[in-house]
Amino acid sequence: MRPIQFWIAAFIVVCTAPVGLSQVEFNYGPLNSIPVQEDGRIKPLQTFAGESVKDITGRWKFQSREPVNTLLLFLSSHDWSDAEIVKLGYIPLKKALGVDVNQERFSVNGLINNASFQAVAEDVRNKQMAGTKLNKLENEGARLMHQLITYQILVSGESLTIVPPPPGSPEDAKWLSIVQPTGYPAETQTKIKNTFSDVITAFHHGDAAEFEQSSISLHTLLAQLNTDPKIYPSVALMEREIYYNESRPFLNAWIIYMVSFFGFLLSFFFVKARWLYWTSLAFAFGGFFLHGWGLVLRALIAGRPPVSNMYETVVFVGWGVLLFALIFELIYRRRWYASVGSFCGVGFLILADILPFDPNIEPLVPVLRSNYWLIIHVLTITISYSAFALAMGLAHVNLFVYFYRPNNKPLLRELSLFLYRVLQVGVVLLAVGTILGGVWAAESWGRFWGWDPKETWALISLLGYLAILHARYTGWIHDFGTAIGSILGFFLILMTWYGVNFVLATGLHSYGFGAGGGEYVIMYLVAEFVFMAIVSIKYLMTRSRMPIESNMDDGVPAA
Amino acid sequence: MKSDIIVFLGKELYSFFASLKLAVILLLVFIVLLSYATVYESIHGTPAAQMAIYSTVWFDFLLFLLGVNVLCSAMIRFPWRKRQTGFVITHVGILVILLGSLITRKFGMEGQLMLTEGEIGKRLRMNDAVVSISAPQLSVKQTFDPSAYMNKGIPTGKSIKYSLGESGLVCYVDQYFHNPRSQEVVKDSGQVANPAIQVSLRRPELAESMSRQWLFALDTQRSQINFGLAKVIFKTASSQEELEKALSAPTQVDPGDSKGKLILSHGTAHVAATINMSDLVSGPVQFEHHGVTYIAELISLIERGKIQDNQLVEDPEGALNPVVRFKLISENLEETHMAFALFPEFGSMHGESGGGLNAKYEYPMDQAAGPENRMDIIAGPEGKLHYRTINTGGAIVKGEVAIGEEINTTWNNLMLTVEQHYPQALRDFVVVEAGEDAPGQRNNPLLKVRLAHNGRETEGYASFNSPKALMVGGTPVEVYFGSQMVPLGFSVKLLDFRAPRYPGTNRPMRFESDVMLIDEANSIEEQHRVFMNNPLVYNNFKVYQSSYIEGQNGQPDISIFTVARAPGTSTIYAGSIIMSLGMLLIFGSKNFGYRKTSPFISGAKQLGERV
Repeated sequence: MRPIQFWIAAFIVVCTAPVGLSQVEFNYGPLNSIPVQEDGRIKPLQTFAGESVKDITGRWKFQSREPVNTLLLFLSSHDWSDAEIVKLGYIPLKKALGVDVNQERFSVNGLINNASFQAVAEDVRNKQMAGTKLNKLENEGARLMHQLITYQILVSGESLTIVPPPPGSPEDAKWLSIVQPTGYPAETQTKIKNTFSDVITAFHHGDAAEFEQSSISLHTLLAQLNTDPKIYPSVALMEREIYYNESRPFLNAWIIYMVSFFGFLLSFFFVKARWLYWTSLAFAFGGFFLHGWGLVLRALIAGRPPVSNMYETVVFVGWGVLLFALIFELIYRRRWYASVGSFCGVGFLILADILPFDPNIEPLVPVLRSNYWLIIHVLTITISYSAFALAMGLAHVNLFVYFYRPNNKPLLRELSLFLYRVLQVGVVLLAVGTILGGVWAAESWGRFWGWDPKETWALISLLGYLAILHARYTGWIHDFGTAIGSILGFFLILMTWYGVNFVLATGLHSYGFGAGGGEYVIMYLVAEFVFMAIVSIKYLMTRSRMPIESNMDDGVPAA
Repeated sequence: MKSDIIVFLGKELYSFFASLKLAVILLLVFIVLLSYATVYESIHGTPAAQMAIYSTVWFDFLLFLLGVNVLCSAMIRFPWRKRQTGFVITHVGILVILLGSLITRKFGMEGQLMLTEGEIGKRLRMNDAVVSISAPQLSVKQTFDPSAYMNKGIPTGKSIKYSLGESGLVCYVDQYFHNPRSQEVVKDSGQVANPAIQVSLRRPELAESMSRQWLFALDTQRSQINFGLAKVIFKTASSQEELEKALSAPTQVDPGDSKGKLILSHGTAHVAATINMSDLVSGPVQFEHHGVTYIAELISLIERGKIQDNQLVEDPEGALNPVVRFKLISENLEETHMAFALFPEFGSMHGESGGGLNAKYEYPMDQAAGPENRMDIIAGPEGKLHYRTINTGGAIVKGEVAIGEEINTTWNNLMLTVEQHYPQALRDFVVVEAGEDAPGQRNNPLLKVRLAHNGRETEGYASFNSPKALMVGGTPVEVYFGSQMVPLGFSVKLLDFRAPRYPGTNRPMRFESDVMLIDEANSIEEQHRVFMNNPLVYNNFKVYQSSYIEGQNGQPDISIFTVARAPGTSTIYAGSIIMSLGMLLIFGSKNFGYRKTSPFISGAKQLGERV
């Protein structure tokens, strides 16, 4: 098939409606595992398609379709340029463009022809050229431009860099797009293009057998172009990432945590039901292992520990909460740790999904390219957040008990001790992690401490928790105050973890910078303040009616 | 009696400095202060925050107070009991860390070394700024510390006076500019004819003017301004006839030149052919590339294109959007291309290209709309201003310009105002303070200095890091305002710098420099590779790769190193280990350091029954 025939075929495809094509059951397996070079790494076509489709439509599985299915639909038909596919959620931008505020997605052509959008785009381009900072509206405008460009280069085939560089190319050579595999002899180029158009044609005709056959041919052909294992990855590597994409370990983990949490809730009411406790604990462990397995897969795919962007740290902190909760649960076996842990596990994994953090696996900036330090410094700091998150969760339970059962002293005593134990773990890890950060800085930049915002905030958090511990020793606060302090302390952690990158956004650590999610954080803070105000008022009223016994028996002697 | 009081006061003070309450208060003070400092830094930038907070004396004092508190809290409990081991070790660790920081602060140094490939560096550029004044004829050289006024500025009307010993040379610093900008000032000289007008443009929907600019009729560089697709031209007419001519006939622009070019390329780099659009309009164009003969044949050329119902249509009312569609024919290929001048990335939409060549349509945007989007302002022979523009209907609109009144330019209803008009203008420049920069941007401070010697005075500006040579009464004087330069004791030569990228992207994967370490005194010449997390260590100095500037167009790369000597680092490490061990001891002790201050708690052993 000569190129012109391919384009004629493409033209025929253009003239027919794309709807209904998805009815045929295609086997996307051979296409899914074709390696693509994008964003500095080699990924399977499934990941590439999913990320691109998510970029444009806001969903990995747009209209419940397989990502590669959506990709093929886009590639094979013009009509998608007129279909409402481009996700636009930012209401002020919709108003600025004069489009329906309630509409979620818009057509590519509609946006390109929108005069107001052209004006915004021009402003953005001018500002970007001049190096001026964009405001929120322009930022969203730039994002929309990016979405349109992603679509355009996707449908033109230019971004489909599935053709490896010719043999003998250096390891970091740029891969070639399917529409322009320059560097190969003319007949090879034609063969590549024709095989690709066979796939598109078979897809368009709904011929599942022919589609599978030509997909396999394409994959085989591409794999034979450059057999250097340093350039063309093995199928097994690609299959592993597909397995990660499809098994969705984090989604399944939070569902299991949810089951475990409700199990524990039930077991609180039927204290004798030991089997219920053990079953719930087993579920918590199941979720924990699955969660960890997901992290391992991610680390293997990326070739580095999974703590290099906001999405990964949220997932990792969630896992850490479970780690500590389950260890303490095995020691004390009083349900509190495990139930709070399961709850936090659900919370963090859902948060990772709904917050606008980029879940793509991306390469590291040069400063982080030291697995050794990344592992010991970043992992220590990050897992200390887990301990503080667990403490924050336990503090809530503690405050609930203060609110509903202020006279259940044994329970309060027990919860306070549990909370204290977790705080200790957190303090040690945060202190050690911060110091390790200093050691890394001393070894990489020649200074142990430089008052960089991230390290300063890590120190502020540490000082915050130390203030709580010392204030307890002075007798200024007691168990109730420690619980309140654990929630306030977590605000400091949030500032260190999220705020420095998203609110302050300066300094050496700002490589993790991204956008969004601020409204959720503010909602959380407001809710916490209301909650703390209510329980504090109740506590102060209850306490004023009770005699205070003082038994100052110190572990650390006073003066 | 008196000594009793002193002993009493001393004890009181001791227990105050040893108190837990002071510890909690200090911790809270640091939390608030450091939080404020990070916010301050994000607004004013890192150097400002260092100067205003972290490097101040009172910050040092607070750290010292913390040290005293930690020390006293440990000392007051002496002799220590066994269960206090963890507590004592932890607090000793903190003291050792603070001590290490003090050592580094006192005896350490940190500077920058910026080397171009092939360059040898012997001196370090420090972060501290100095003012250094030297007059070889008077054999004086003295260095001063400008940090006070770099921090707070010099009050207007005051000057800083530097006297150079007995030489009689005095240097006054009259002004300090943190972020200087050179500003043009236009005045009426009343002498030489030099017509100038200040114009501003306003969009009808905006209250404020978009831009304000001076135009000089006699200066070809400054006689016109482009506002997007339109331009304003200021010229003179020496006679009434010339004026009338300028007001009537619009300049004709050759339409052939205004259609732009079509560039066909192989990949992104190899240009196969450049075709003038006017040639393509007149008929098919033939060209050869890599031995293949191609013919380009025009299908349609649309100036105001629009995609409607998936069709390219001409929209005479619409915005300028030039699109060309053409056929590319060769021996075994025939394909249709479409290229948008404004959206080059949309050029090969939906397989309209791809056979072999990429098409790019370059449209001369500055003359995009032909001669009509242009306003001429003419200074007539009698000194009055006139204007001429052409409205959308093609009719000429002209009139006399009234200073300060808006004129409708007729393009997009933009309103033009001539704000000022000087027939005999004089241009001058003054240095003004532009205020604080956005964080991350470097500013280039400037000093206005005045030298006085033997009753004579000279003024001049000393720009940061560039020595300024001045003459005062025949005596040459050099004023240097800039970073302090400190000899390193050895030299570093940059051989090569590399920043390999992640495959297929422009993101650097790492950056590394090959350097030659040269110490002539000890006849050492070694080659090293310096990269992130892998510094070069020599003579207690560590040379770190910190940044780089890649040379464009074959220029050599520049590598930036941080060179530091931090003698307290090992003490800090030791303190860190001691502190961590102490914390583990406290928390790992029998009652986990859990102090039972609560009325409800009576011990960790009274837990409920395990499930």
